[in-house]
Amino acid sequence: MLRKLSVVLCLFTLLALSAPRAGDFPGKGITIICTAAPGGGSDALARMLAQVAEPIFGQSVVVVNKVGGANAVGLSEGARARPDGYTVTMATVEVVMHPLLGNVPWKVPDVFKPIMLLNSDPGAVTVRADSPWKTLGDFLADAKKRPGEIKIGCTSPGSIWHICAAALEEASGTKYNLVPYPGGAAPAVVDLLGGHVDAVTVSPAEVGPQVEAGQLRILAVMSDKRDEKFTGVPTMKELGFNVSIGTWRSFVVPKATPDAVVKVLHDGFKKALEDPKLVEFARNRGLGLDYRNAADFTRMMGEQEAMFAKIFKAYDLLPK
Amino acid sequence: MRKTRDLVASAFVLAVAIFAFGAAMTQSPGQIGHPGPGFFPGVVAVFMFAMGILLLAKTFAQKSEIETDKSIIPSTRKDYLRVGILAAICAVYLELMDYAGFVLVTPPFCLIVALLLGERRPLVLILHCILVPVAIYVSFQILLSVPLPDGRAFY
Amino acid sequence: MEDIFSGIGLAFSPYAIIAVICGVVGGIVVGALPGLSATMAVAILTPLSFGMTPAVSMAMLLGTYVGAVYGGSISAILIRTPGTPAACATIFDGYPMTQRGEAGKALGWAALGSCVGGMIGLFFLVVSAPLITRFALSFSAPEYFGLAIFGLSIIISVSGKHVTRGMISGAAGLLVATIGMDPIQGSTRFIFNSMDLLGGISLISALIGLFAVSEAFNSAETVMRESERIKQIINGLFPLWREIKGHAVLILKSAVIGTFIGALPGAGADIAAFVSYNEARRSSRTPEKFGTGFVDGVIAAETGNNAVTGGAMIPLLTLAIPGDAVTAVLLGALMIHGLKPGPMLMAENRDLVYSFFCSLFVGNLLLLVFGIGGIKVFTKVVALTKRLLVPIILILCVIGAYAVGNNLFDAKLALAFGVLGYLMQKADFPVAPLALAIILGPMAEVALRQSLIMNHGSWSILATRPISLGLLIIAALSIFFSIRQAQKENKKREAMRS
Repeated sequence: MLRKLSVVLCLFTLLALSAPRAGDFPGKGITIICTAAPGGGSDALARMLAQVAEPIFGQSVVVVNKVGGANAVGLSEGARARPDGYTVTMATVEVVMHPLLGNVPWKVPDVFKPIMLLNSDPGAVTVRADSPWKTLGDFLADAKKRPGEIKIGCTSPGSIWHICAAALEEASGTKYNLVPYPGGAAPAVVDLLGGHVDAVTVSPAEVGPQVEAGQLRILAVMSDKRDEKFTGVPTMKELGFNVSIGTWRSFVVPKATPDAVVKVLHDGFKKALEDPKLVEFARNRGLGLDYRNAADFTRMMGEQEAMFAKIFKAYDLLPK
Repeated sequence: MRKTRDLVASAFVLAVAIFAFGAAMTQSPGQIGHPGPGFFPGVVAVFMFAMGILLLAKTFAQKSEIETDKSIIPSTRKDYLRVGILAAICAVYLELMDYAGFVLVTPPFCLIVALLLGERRPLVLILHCILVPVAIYVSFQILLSVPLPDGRAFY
Repeated sequence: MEDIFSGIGLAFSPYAIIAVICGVVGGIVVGALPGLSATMAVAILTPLSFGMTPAVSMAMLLGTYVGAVYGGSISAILIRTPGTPAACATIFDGYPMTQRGEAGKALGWAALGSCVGGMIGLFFLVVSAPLITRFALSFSAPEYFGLAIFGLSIIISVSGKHVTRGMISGAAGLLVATIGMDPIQGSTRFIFNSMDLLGGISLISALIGLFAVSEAFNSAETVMRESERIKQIINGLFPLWREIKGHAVLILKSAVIGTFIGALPGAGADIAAFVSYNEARRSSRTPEKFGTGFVDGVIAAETGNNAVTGGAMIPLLTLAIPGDAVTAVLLGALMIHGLKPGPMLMAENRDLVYSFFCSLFVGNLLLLVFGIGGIKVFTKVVALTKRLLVPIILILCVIGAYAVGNNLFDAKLALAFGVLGYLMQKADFPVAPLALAIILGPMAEVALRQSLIMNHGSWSILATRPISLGLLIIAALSIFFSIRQAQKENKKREAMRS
């Protein structure tokens, strides 16, 4: 009995003393904060990256979902995490938008240090296959005839798909009834299928399966290049509208994280991003991988911020 | 005794309803066709207030004492004190966990709570406060890959 | 036809069988542990399944799904802890049964109900998926508002004899649900400048606190008085065929409700459990027995919530739209394997679809096997004296609440709700309405505001659409009759006393 007891005591002591030493990064498991709910594109990408990165880092890489406020909650959590490199935040495009809208009290350069850009997915105008609009031209013409009547389903105001719809309005001079879907892109797509809204402005990935099944039709994508899968769909630029907007996902850490640690994270995750398993996964899932290093990514964020500021001003979304 | 309790409860409910209504009105309630963020909480607060008044009225109108189950021995003051202490211990436990991490704080927690609840056998106490944290640590952190609190003091 | 047979073969291959067994066992464990949800379990397992064949990986994931939804009932019945939000309604009658020594009976019926519910859901999935999907697609914001209001009307029936207090409790729940960012406009409500409240109150923290932590405090209060441990009856547990026949209508109704609610993309197992429970009570000959440890309550809740596993797969397979949070993750899993979910799946990968059906069948069967087989083991848990059990429960609760988002604030919230729940019960305020309101409040508010936006600010949309009008009318009738029933019961009690 006493022997069992001492074995247990030793085990316990070992556990208690298993605190890793600082100085050899990563000395323990890394946590990725995913700001979106399980099952969505961000979550899927985070989990696959985590799995592929585990052997690269030699430590466990775990994904934690912190959902709420159109990604604001998770982003704020990530900003407040310990700056030791063990908590990486998957920052989506909302990280640039929320400070502009006054939803969060911080600004990206003050609280975050970017590691790299992972992917970008453009917005797209999608309608039902059995709708009377065969091209974007048809759609816009109809919208001009009855302003505010056509219902577009998008996520809550201030989140990216809503801004895509706003950008569409601004660039084409049309007005729609924008119906918010706080639950994300999926509920909006459901209502589109059910005929309760007329169009959605989410990314091609979110409507991929239904388009391939012939139930939905993408009229245009809001990117510079045509979509890899749906090559028959024109870009808005081709149609004469200078609209290039979409969501993107990146890795960031709290600002005070040491540069040496950031480099290790960058190199490790870059390798993970190039892993064939991940590439195949992203292709199947409809996620557009788009790597950019910290410098290019920071520059991109600056451009995005300027673009969003312009749109928000035009739509009177800036805080008073 | 019961009447005082019910009066206090009704008063508390009314207070909460008034506070909620006030807070809701600082958000724009919007118009009837375009409800703003303050609409829903405002309506609910009004409903709660109405129910609070109803409860107050029922409390005054009640003539006889509700019969209690005589087979249950009523709790003594000492019993209630125990619950209060337990709640306080839990709060301290969580705060300490933030600083020192799960592994260090949980064994004393187990020990103290078991003692508080009347466990006196020393062997049982020791086994309990070792096995329980270990079991939880192994199942969550190791088997399920769910990280447990780490302890800010150490990193 | 060969596709069907080859699909069945895929599901019964050794790897697939092992996968589904591991999935069910893992799912039950995760479901039973508070704070860990089915969604989380499936999300964690999905990348791991990348290397397996689609049939085997889906066998594992589907097994985890059904196991987790059932698993919540174990902790709900034994220690009044909702292992998953779906098990909340199981607490109302499951825990009182444990307190009377009938934990084994409750667990047995929970296993049976879960198995049969899942099977019936699967039946609808196989036989009438396209039809049900069409019904599900007709649901938009006005219908969800109607559903949410109907769900909220259930508050009255879970209030027992304290209807006014129940309504106050429900109102409080609705207010709690508004804490955080306004879902439509993004402004913050009631957050008192705390960044932690920006995301609102975590539902799991609230449920764990209100039911489990408060019960731990109750136990602390009475631990000195109760000298004997309650003996649990563990013989003669498998429900007799006669008893099963007697409850057949109840089981069937709950399963149908669960299947349909599961098929709705915006509603999941927790709502299904409550609606089934409510319907069982409404149509019962002895409604006053609900909440006192009446086995019908357990059957209704568990059958309803497991039927969702079949129902939620319906829109997933027909339209590539998830029916609940777990199927949203399964959608991703299907895509990872290069499959195209939706109507094309049935056309291009018929054999795989049938192997999924078979895996679900096996998984549900395993629920019965493990559930009944494990009764003796499960009930040993409550055999532990309260003095040692309470610390364990408290730790599991706070760690569970913490684990949801890796945030100690959620754990502190659970503790706060525990204190609240304890005080509420002391003042005879029922706790269930608060929980129900936190679950349904957001749905009601968002649906209402969406409906108004869609209809340019006119409330008429709620009345012009048949389904939403129907649901609102049912809700109104339900409220009216429930209140009348409660008044009748109170008068009966008054009469018995004098």
